[in-house]
Amino acid sequence: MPGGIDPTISLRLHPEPPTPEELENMKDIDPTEAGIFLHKLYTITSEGNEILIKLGASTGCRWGDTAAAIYTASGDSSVCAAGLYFHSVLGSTDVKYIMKHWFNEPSVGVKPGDAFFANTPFYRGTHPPDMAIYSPVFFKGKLVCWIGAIVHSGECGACEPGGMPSGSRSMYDEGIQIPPMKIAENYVLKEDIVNYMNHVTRDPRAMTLDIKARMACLRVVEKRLMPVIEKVSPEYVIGALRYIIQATGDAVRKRIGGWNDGTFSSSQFVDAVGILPRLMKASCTLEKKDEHLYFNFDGTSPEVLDRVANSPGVGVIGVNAVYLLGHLFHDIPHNSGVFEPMSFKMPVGSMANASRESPKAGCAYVHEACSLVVQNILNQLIYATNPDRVECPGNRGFDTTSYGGINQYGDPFADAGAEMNGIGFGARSNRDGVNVAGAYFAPMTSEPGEIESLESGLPFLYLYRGFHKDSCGHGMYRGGVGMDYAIQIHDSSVISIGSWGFGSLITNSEGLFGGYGVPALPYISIHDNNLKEMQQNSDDKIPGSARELYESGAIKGEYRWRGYPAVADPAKEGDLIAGGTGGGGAYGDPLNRDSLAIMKDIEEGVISHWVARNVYKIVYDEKALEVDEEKTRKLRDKERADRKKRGQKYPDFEKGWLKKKPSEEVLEFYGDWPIKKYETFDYFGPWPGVKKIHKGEPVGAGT
Amino acid sequence: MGYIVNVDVGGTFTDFYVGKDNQSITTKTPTTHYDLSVGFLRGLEECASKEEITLENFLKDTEVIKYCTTLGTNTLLELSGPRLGLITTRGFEDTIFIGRGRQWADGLPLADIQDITNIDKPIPLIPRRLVVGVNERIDYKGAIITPLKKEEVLDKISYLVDNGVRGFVVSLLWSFVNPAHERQIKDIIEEVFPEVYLGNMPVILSSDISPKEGEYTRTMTAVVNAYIHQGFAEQMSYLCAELMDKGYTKPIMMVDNLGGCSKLSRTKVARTHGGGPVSGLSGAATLCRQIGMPNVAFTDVGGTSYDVGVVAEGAVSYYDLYPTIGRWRTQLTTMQVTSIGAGGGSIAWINTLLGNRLEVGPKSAGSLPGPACYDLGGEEPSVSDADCVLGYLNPDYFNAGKMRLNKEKALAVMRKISDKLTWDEVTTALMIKRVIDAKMGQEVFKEIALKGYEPSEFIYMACGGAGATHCCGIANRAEMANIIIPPSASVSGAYGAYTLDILHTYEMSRHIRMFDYATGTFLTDYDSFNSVVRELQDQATKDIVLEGFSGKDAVYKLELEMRYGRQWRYTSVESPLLMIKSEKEVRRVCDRFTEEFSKLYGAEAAYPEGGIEVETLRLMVTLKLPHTSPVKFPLEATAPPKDSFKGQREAFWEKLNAFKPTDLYQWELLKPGNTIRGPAIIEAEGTTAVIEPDWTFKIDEYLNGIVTMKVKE
Repeated sequence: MPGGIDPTISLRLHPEPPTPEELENMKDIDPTEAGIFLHKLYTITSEGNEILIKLGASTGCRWGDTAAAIYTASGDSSVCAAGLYFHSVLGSTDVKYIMKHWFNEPSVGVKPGDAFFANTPFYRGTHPPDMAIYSPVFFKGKLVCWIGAIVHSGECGACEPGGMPSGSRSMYDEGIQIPPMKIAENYVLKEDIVNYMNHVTRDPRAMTLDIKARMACLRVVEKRLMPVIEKVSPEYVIGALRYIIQATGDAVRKRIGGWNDGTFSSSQFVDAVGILPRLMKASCTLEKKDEHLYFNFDGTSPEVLDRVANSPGVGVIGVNAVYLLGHLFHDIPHNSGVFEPMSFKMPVGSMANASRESPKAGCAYVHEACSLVVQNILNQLIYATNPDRVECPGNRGFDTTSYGGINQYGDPFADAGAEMNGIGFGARSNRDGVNVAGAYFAPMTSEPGEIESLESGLPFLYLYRGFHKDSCGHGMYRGGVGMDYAIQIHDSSVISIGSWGFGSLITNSEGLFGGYGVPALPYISIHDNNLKEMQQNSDDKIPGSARELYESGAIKGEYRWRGYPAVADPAKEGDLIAGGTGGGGAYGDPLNRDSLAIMKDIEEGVISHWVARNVYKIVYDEKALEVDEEKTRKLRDKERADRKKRGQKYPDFEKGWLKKKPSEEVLEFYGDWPIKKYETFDYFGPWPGVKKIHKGEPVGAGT
Repeated sequence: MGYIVNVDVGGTFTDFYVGKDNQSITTKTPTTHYDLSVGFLRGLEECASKEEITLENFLKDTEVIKYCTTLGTNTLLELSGPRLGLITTRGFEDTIFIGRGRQWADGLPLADIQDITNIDKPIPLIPRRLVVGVNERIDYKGAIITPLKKEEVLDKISYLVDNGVRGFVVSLLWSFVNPAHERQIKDIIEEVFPEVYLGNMPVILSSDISPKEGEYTRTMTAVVNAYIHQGFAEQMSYLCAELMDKGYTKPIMMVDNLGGCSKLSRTKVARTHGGGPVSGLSGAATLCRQIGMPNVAFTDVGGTSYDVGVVAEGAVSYYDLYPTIGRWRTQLTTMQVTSIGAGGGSIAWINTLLGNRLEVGPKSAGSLPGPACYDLGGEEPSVSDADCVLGYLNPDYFNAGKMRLNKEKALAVMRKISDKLTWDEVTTALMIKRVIDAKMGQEVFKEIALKGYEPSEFIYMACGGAGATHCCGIANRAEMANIIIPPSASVSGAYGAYTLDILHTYEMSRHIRMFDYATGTFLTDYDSFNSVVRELQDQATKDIVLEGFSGKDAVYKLELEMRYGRQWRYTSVESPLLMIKSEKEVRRVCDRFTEEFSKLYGAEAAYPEGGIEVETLRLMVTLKLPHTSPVKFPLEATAPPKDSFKGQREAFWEKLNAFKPTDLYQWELLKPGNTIRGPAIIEAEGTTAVIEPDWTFKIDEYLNGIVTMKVKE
């Protein structure tokens, strides 16, 4: 490819082989001393991350969609403090790009005080709003490590506001996508570069503040690192950073070794291709052998060259850091080493390993679907040995609003809705999921914000925001519910608003062991409506929830049933947008759910009477919420008997099932029915029978 | 002047510091959770007995009692508060259950937060069925969008009363800008259900308790306050009655979490949460100002806690804007004291996943059973066990001999892990010390660094019963070469209370654009700023009078929560002015903000051209109480007096890599000027100071222990 366009860098997500210098310096490191040193480095990144969160402007800063990280000199993520682990891990490929292309390039070079900005999906694998700045750390002229500050900024100058244009038809509709580019030299920010970014995005102040926040983070991390390097020696730091990665890999390997060998597979469907209601499939087969996991994504739908339904392979793999480091391996250091005992076979030209020019604004949907498949597979894998860690997925629809315009003070704004951070988490094998727990991808820090803080800077008046009744999967242990919300445009008529995500047609997150998946999610807008009049009259029919809005029909106006995702459309004063976030998947048969728990769910507004009667099959007094246990037992027994009657022998079921097929229109982008098979693959990590020609740099397509 | 009695009721011990005419008495009694007055009166009796007078005469000669307590926290833990009903804006009834989403993480340690599979939200203080919504709406400007209807309010109140509520919390959206609807609801409740029928059923308005932005945190501030108010009031009134029976007629002052105190009758109960640690921090600031040490890392280490606070440039000015009380995030600003560990009870374990790495904490042996050496059933090796094995703690003189330690038990639990590590018990104990010292020291470093200061410019203050035992190791890791151990180290919260003045704080959120980026103009509507200050001053005036002072006694300080346009978070800045009268003064406020911001985050991070906004104004009013200056004693010989020397004990020193017969001293018998080179162990009634090789201990003119690291050549 011309210039520095490098298709091999993104294949290097896995840790590089240790350099001779690293091997030499890590040979005498004691595990306990390494633990102390890691803690020191963690406090440094933690200080950096706190500054990042505090100084930034995008909602990403507020919800902790951030990371401050330390990388080895060769670019592997070693230590991080993060709300979002994959920001740190996926930064590896950006740093590796800098090392490969700019370190020895005279016109660029890498010197103390430099900083490099990057946000292209082509290398780090996530959408353009995920913007990073990296700095080298030198000691007496020697490169010791890299540091990074990553934040999801709310706006990147795409064809729609908010960073993820649902209607994008080309990567060139998706705003700035900058490969690693020098943004500071000799500890001074290059104002011409910042100026350029301000000129091509909708919210220049937020862009500038986010850049300054990243720089402040990097400055403090470097400032803290320098005396540490001096004290323990650069050699120790170089050795320890690699040691930490290797110790992480060893720990993951050890835990994997305790699970049963076997082959497991799963699929997940996405119900939107761009804004079209079309079906796509994420498919994965895992072979677990000894201490290694081999993930094969053959069978996944092909990329779509003119719709937002694609992701680079590196992103599909990297985002699994959220589940792996936050759930299965929460108790080990958080770095690239987690992928050492894992290999990934990614079909070339699939939506999970798409080509450079396909639109990537919706890569998050692919990430969600593919990481769901991985979680489902790992749940199957660990059930026999670690049932207490089995956990249904929290909602993965990535559903929220995106908007931009002029706010009530006359200021430009553009960002994504904070409601995305209010999904329900999945049920566990021993209890329910958590209602409105956070964002799946940044659970430790994400928040949907408080209404007053949102309305103080956005031209919105929320009509309601509460538990999204029945939005969970139902089961013996139900998923947590999400949030419903309605937003009235207030004190502004210069705004466009759309939505991200998927799951408005079919479930986007499934249950386990008989537990139900989550229901589809509504998203509508009501224009030229009578809501203001109702408000002025204190009309008691003003809806207080999504259910009331849909069932009462009290608000009159032009209803547009849009769903997730939807292109950002102009809206004006008084228009109403109503949506919801989804709940988590359920665990176990709903007929086994404790009846008192169901009464509590009703009392707490989490489920409806309809669900109690028709899904959970219980008999009770709706007013007193008292269960008739005997009648319930009989009703449930009858349902179990009816199920048997409705059931089929597996061969009969399979025969009938295989004859079923969605319409050609729905399958427009699906690939071959029922399963798309590929001939060429990219490999991330070692794969039996596949050779590598360079250390740490797989050959790439077709190997 | 009579006795000034200062009491800090902690989870394990109730600490006393009594001052009179430059003399002090300290003591500790076990906290009696079943009835706090028992431990409290027992402590007073001990103090009286040290003065060789009766309790009645002691109380008769007492000027004031200042009281720090965590009383309310137990009510939250036990969910034993009254049945409350919450009235809120319709459509937002789930706000307190949504809890900004990550409510599940509030109040949890990092290790628990990181285990996402096992998260759970806390049991709510008000069940969902006792939350009702009323059809009303106010917007960000305070404009009424949907007027409130009385009939609906009446229906909702009837529903709540029928369901047995014993108090109402009213929290509506944007009530901090326009409280009209909240007040209307209160009027309706009081009109239809007059107090005579409702008894003492309270009506709490969120706009009264905390008129600040953020409906969840404001509501929870009101809910938590209402939830713990009744039990707190009952216990305090019982305590007052007991004291009156013993002849005490003066006021009880409650210590708050902003570094002040106020009359019991002028105290919001939520303000008392965390009063003890904040009091300790305030005391540290006062002490260090008096002796010319402006920058202090205050630490308070007990059997189950390790708290850190920062005194910079002689002042305590770092806040927690959203303090967590129990599991509930609130918004009554408090002084920041951060919990970074579990103290002497932290348990050591082997992380087999990470190459048999020795880890310490976060699990703790707690106060019961406590470390194995307490001999109360503890079976896991802890930091205190390691200290016992290394010879630092005296089994016969722990807590002034009130408790004996079982060294054999400590050795036995060391063996539980040393066998797996191929270390002996002593090496294991030493490594436990290394790990805990390093991690705590590194955390202390971070706490200072986060404030924009260089930790090496700070002195490490070691307080709490376990603070002085690890002071050298921790200070070293925090990159501090100087340590101060005050004579009141083991009762720092009570000592701090002694130094406090009356303080009242008033906060209000208001969005004020000081500099508009688009027009390049500064605020011209000065009254938008001044009217808020005046409103806060009016509130202050009432409290000043009710505290028995006049306006001229008050010292005002105005602080502002400010940010650049589009930022989410705030930076606290002390305003150079109370009122604004000209553009020049607006500029002064803006410049002050950028100056403070640049100091914290670097000049490159400042962005005044993006606009400057004030979001919250905080008026602090101090009423000075009489205090005595510390007595400066003449320095005596450097050699400690013979009677202070207690002999020697074998103790292990890492630098020597061996046990060494180590000199032991009794702190209380040391004189100003006495200097002791490490290694040495200095035992006090409430703590044990371990002076490592390369460190030197000296009693200064104020009877503080000053520990200094040998300057490297």
